[in-house]
Amino acid sequence: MTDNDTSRLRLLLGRLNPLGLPLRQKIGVFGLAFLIAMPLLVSLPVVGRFVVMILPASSWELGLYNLAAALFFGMFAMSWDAVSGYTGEISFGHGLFFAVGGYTSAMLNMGHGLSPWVSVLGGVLLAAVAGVMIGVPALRIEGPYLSLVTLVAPLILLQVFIYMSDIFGGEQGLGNPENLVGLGFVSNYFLALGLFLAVFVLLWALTRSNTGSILTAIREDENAVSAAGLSTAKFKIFAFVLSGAIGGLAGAAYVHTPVGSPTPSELMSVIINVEVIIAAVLGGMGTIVGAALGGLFVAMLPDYLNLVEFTVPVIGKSISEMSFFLFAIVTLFLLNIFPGGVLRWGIALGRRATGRDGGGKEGMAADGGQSPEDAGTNPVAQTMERYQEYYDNMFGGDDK
Amino acid sequence: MVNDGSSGSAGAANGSKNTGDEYNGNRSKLNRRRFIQAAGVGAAATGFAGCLGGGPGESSEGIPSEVTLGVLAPAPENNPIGAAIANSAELAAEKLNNSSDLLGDADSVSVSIKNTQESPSTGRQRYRELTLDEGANMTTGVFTSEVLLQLMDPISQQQTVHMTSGAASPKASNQVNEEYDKYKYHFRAGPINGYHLGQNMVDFLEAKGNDLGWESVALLVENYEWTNPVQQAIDDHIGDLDVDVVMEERYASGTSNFGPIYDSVEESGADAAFVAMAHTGTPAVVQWARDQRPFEFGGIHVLTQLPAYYSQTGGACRFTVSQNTATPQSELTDKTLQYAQDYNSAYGGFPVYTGYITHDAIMQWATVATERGTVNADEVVSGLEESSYTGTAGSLDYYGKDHEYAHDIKYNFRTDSPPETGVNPVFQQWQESDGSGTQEVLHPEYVSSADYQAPPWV
Repeated sequence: MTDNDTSRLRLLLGRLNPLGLPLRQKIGVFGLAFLIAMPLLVSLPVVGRFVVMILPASSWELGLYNLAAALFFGMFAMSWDAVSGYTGEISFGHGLFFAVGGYTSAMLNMGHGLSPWVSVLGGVLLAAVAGVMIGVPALRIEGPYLSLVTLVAPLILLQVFIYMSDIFGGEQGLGNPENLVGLGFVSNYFLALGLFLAVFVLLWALTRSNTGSILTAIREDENAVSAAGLSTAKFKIFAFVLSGAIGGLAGAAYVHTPVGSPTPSELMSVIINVEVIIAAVLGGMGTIVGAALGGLFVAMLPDYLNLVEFTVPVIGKSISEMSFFLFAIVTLFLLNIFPGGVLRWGIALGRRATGRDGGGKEGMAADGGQSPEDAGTNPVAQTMERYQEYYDNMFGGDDK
Repeated sequence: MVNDGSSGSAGAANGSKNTGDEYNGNRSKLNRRRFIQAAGVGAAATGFAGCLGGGPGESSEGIPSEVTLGVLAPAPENNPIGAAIANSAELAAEKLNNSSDLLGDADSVSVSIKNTQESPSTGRQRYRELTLDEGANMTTGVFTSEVLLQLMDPISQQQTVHMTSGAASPKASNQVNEEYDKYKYHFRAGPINGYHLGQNMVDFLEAKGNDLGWESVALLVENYEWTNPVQQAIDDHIGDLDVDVVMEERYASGTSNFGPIYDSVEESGADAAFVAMAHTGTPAVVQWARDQRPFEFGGIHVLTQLPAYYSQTGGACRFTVSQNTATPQSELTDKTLQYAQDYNSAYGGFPVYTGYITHDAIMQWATVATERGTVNADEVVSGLEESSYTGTAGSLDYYGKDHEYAHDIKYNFRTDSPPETGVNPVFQQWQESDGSGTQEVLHPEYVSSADYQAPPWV
């Protein structure tokens, strides 16, 4: 082994050593370790009690089920972030991909007797095809027009499901397809966690690669990307197909667990479509990490609110009855104070606290190196700017 | 123990009467939990190869000192259908607490009510809270078919008797028939299933066609899943009658303008619109009455079943006919009026159909558990299969496991035989007396309280 190899190996090992990581990544690794150890921790005599207290349920069994459901929602949010957070083409109907994945897999399993492990692959494949179908129009129409297409697509699909309810079960959805790993609390939790980590690692690596930079560049200035001789069309379709396939994977696996089922209200309702966007924007649009955390938060907040037994005095309603209302209020509040997402705010706060806010060189920033304070370059502001331009043109503004 | 501290608070949060100590009489459940925890960790260690059942395999024998009834209702605070489920369950628990015969060995019977929000995922989660966290000995309620169908697997997982009291989809009973051992814990105490609802509409026309004078009808069905079996049954059986179906329309879900549809009905010359409406019912009735359309109106109209509907629509529902489980005017059995009055004095209003059924479901379950001397789910399942219980809505008997509608309540096909031989829905008409509306009963004969009145403009 040459010296060069040894030093490379040392460098790699150094990078993998959690103690050598920046603070935010240490927190991330600790969080992951906690999630992995969760089922073990709940069975410990004293620690277990505390763990159950922080779970979004009143017992560990339900807590693991609810966490599994939240992990699936985190995957939904990440799949949205991969296309909309990076390219700035906002999809208002990502539920289309979850539904295509979930319904395809359920129908292959229930109607054709395929093993759920095989049928999930079928779901992924068809969701990727749906990604092409949405991605190709995205070459000719952009901004608000594309958003309209994505908004209408799942509504059309829902009408098809209702019209052909003998095949798709209408608004009741299909029955219960076979589960991938039975009904176990622990096994299903690990299934969700494993998939969540796989999706996270894939998207994290991809968005930090050259491809990720190009997608970010499309959001920032599409003309500049074209001028550099890169085909924006190719990359946009790639982003849609990737996002569709991952959304389809999450949707397909979700219906084969005890926490999910192939029904329109769980996979493609307007509320799901909006919640996915809220989750990603709240966590930090265009970061993957933020979408993952935002997804977990948005999915678990109603569960936590449901546990609160406080009754609001004047209106005489309990917190748990008003959970959705409070969820909306909390979200609105958070979006107002953290327009760039909670993750960016947290990183900026951490940097100030550790005195590194000027350094900028340690490790790669989660958002691809942009300054968190600079609102003009945060993805939400950039997307808003893009949309503003389209609206100006729409109403006869000056052609810039 | 992991669950002790938190389960008490969850019970209190959801209106459960008993706070804390709900596992006192149920030691074996605690042991089961510890076992599952250990098994769960084992499964984790072996790379989640294990598949955990989680069902109460060795559930308690005998009647525990604390009996918990789990109730799933859509928005029980403001939806009259959900409120009727929740209030009737409370009323039934009070009766059981005061009774020395029924569940006499139990010190207290408590109710835990959860809101399904008509969403399958919420319903599933709340169902698991009831069975896993609060140790419910039986569950009842569920109005939305979509929720019920997605509860079938959790019910089989928890192996706890569930008696549906609102959703009518026959798919649930088909599942019981196809995989009996897995799904046998599901019973539908009412209403009669969707197919029988449709059949009952035809039976009503057969029995009352002469009085109504409907020689031709226009079938108007809203395009929702629940109407599929209803329409199927009407199509299968209406050909046996001397009634012409001059028009059949399955109109779009969410329809709010009935003008063009009613124009077609008028053109077809039908004597009456024969309808199946739930979600789209209010604009349909209001526009029919406002425009004084020259045809009569009847069938299944879920909203006109609400006792407060007359004032809600400003009397627009006057002269409409609808199927219903029971009304405060229908003395189906000697329990019907007593229950309706008890409900009215406790909650200041009359219940809708889900109330009668929820009450009957709980009382029948308690009767069977008392007879068998246990709340063990398998024992109660076989007890319910053999049981014939006369409740407020008629006689509750269930189809056997080999029937395509296994564990659905039996529909009494003989339209005018007394309710002791099975459940027979009533047909009501909104009529006006002294300026306020009443749900007068036209059919069956043995409870009819008034004659049919045709709208004066027809």
